[in-house]
Amino acid sequence: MIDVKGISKKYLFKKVLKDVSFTVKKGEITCLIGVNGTGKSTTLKTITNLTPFNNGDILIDGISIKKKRSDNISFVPDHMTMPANMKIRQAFQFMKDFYPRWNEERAAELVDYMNIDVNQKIGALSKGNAAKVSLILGLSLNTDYVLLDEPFSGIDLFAKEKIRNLFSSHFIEGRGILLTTHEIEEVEHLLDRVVILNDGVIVKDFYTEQMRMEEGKSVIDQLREVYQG
Amino acid sequence: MKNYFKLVDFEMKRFWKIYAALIGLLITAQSITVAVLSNSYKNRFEESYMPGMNYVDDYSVRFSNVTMSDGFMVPIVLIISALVFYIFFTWYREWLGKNTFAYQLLLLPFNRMTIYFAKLTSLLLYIFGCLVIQIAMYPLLNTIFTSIVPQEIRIDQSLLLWLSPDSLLGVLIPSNSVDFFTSYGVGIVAVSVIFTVIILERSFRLKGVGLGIAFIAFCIFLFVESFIIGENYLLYIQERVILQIVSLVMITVLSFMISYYIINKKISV
Amino acid sequence: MLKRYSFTLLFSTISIFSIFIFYTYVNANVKEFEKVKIETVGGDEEEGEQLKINGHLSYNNSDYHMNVSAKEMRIAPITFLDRVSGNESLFLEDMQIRKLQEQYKGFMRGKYFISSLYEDNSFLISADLDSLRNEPTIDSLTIEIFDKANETTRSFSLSIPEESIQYEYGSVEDVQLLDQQLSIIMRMSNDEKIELIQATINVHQQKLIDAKALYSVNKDKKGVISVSSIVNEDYYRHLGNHNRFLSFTTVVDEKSFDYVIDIRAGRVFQLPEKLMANASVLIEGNKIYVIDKSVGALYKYDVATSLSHLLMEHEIIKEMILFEIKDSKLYFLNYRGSEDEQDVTTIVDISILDINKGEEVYRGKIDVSEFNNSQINYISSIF
Repeated sequence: MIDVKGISKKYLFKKVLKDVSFTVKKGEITCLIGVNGTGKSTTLKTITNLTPFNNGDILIDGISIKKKRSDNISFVPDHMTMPANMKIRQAFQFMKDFYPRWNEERAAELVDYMNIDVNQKIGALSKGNAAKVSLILGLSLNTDYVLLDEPFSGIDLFAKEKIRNLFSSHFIEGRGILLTTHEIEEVEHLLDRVVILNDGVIVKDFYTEQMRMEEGKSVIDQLREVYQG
Repeated sequence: MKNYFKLVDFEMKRFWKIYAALIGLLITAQSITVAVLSNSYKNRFEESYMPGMNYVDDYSVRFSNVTMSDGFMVPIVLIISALVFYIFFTWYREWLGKNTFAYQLLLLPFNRMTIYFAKLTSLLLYIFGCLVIQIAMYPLLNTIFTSIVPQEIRIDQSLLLWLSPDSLLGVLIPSNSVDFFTSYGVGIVAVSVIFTVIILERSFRLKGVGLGIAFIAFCIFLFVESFIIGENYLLYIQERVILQIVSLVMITVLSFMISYYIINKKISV
Repeated sequence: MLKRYSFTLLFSTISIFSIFIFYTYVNANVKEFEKVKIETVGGDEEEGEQLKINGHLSYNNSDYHMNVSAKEMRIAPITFLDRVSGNESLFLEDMQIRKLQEQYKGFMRGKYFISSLYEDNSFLISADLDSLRNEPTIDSLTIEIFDKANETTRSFSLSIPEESIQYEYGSVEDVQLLDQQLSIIMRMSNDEKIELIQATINVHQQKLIDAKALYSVNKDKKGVISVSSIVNEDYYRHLGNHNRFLSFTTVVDEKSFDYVIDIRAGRVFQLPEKLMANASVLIEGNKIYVIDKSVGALYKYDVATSLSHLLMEHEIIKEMILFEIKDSKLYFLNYRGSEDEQDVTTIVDISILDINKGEEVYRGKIDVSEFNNSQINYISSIF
């Protein structure tokens, strides 16, 4: 389990995260939702040690990341992060070289599924294909947790569909997924849990199924309540 | 350790094309310069010489006369500038490049200080490579020189004489191993301080610039203090030199320690 | 898998290995010098065997320390660290100071000049002028005595009498222990005059017994006046020689005058002008010699009669450079080039004249002319 405990973070004089606490369990898809600038990406980066936090703690399977950085998490950022002059197969080789958890067969399977030509240069990829390659790089690691930052942002309909289908596939099954998005309609039906972030503060944290059954509300309904009152 | 070597290999391969182009420029420019200048010395002699003239005094030319020219030195200065630029470029391209590769580097599942040492190592290897290539060029350049300039006016120079301490080449390639380790050792200290300042800036941005300047000032203070202690405590000169070496080692260790902490705990993408 | 890393492996191996090979080649190049030694050309070979000549050599435009004996030459590059740490100098005074610093680490701190030290089997003594009141004038003399038997140090300061505090500049020129009394010769000056002062100190009572001006010259506005340092740099001060006499030169309006200080008597006498026209003073122990290079003659000067008598005439005195006087022997050097390359100094001739025998007892040479691009820059010491 990823256990985020009361983390706060300041950028210069502005508090971007204020006492944020939530959990991500294995086998569940958790979504961190909020409008732009509420601190979603920052939250993911604190979990992956890509940005420090001022207060609180984050435990991955019981071990604080302050003591030891976890290698059981993979992170798919919201943009391509491999050098532009690298070919896709070279990027895979890079991952294979440095990650003991790299699963070559799974990567090949994902390449087939996404219909990607591995001899292309990363800099020449379209936004949609770049997003697909980023996903392949993240999902091909044998980690229990996968963090995805805006996986549907700025890509075409067909790419979105491919990516969406992944969430109900064996590539995701059994893993703890934390994703951020503000395009909730794409994934609402896939989510187990939703955490709504507003201005750096968690305003709602609920299981979607439970909310639907108890209050008869969808995720979008909850969002409207938060942002429109 | 395996990850360190792999990362060194990765860093080397990222820059090798630019490096190869610079080396190509070095070889081409220096060969052409030697050929052209040798030819001009030869022509000057053949056009102006008359029997009975003292051609040795008036027309003699050493190999180093040709190699101390601008055309010869400019590629060297260019490579030095490129490598100095590389000190900063190797870090800033990770954040400011088209795709923020810093994400991937900082997510690698081992101590982030490995990245620091890999970048330092690849820089050093490139520097040593340049030195070796320059030394290796001696036979080629000397052959061009001796084949063009007539023996009557030619003063041949051995490799060691060519790398005379009073030339830029002699500064870059010292004539003894102790000076080599001293000058490149001090270079490593300087680069480690710069790397630390860069990491501070990347972690704390504007505040990091201030911290970096403070760190540099502290390093300078530490080094200067070794001179002051020497004066005040009447240390022997040899003791003062040891103290200065110790201060440089301390600066390096401090750079490594600060970088270790910042890159693992405080850096931000 | 190694194939993937072949570029980096090859690049780093070749780079590091090549640099190693380069410096091995550099070292191998200079190792050839080991076969050079002091060659005996004539005279008693045993005289040459006691010589240990230190100097500076250039080879391929790089500087090296050289140390040559009758057996071999040892050559070491002068590194940047040598230059910065003072290890560059192989002059006798610097070598003596370094040796004392090694033997008496604590005592020798802050002491850099042979002229302010005295050494015998029992003691090492230093004298230093101070300005304790933090004013521009010198007002005290500090004596430190290291007892070699007990390995203890004691020190005391003596204030210069108020009426005598008038010098802004001063240096200790000689320290001698004579019958439990310390004799210190100082060279003091201010804007108006230069004086040589001898202070006599009772070491046990730590009291100043006497301080007198041995020589004084007023700096008037007519001409430039200088009084040379007594430590004559041409003829090396061997600590422990305890010379009875010291010499100095005064230049007044471009005219030179030579003087000798009799330390025991506490007086100064001027050497005859005619004698000193072209000559220079040599002192060893209680003997005063005058050497006239223009005619190649060596005289002994008798203090009692103020007369000089000729000891020997020799071409060597005329042609070669006097380097040292020790144990009644004069050591001469001559720097020259080889027959093929006369402009570059690759040969140093050594000659020893025995004063008592009145003849040359040894002739030798150091020859590096077989090594291209080599040059002997200078000899700094020969013992």
